[in-house]
Amino acid sequence: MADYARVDPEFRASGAGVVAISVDPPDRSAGVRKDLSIPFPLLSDSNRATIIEWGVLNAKEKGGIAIPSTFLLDRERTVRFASVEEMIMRVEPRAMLEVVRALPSGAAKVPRARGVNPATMFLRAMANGFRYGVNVKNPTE
Amino acid sequence: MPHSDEARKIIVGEIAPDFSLPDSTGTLRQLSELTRNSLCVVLFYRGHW
Repeated sequence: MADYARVDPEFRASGAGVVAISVDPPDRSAGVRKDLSIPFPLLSDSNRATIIEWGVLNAKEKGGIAIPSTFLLDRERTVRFASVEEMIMRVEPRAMLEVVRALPSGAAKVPRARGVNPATMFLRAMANGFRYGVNVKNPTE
Repeated sequence: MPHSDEARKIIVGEIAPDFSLPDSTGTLRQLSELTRNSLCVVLFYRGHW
């Protein structure tokens, strides 16, 4: 999340806010927020209602925690991008920023491939998703 | 092996369910307010629990 914190100004400049949700109680989130200098809100879903409703519950760990996942919503709250444990790591913030910047025109720019790395693979999948309306799905399903 | 919560996975094109959750100061933040004037990136993270 610290990676998203660093890119937060660019998200804002591109017309997107960021929020992050976990099962941590607010006082715990306050500590994390301070320690990692996170500028965006950390929301507490202690009873896991939202996590369950969004289908991102990992019930097998620690009595139920969120699966690392990334969504982009537009102003109508329509989901424009969804990634649930798509990669080992969360969607890299600069890749996400590209999704945000692609939205107003409705056409995603396809970055030049610079070798095989998760971010490039992700961007490619994302661009295809925008072009063909293919939803990003969990490959483990 | 699919488990029960997978049936409710949020997909591209649908309207995300609204939520109202406390931030780190205990103030309730509603998703529909967060998206009123801007796009919103929603991250779920494991937390330290």
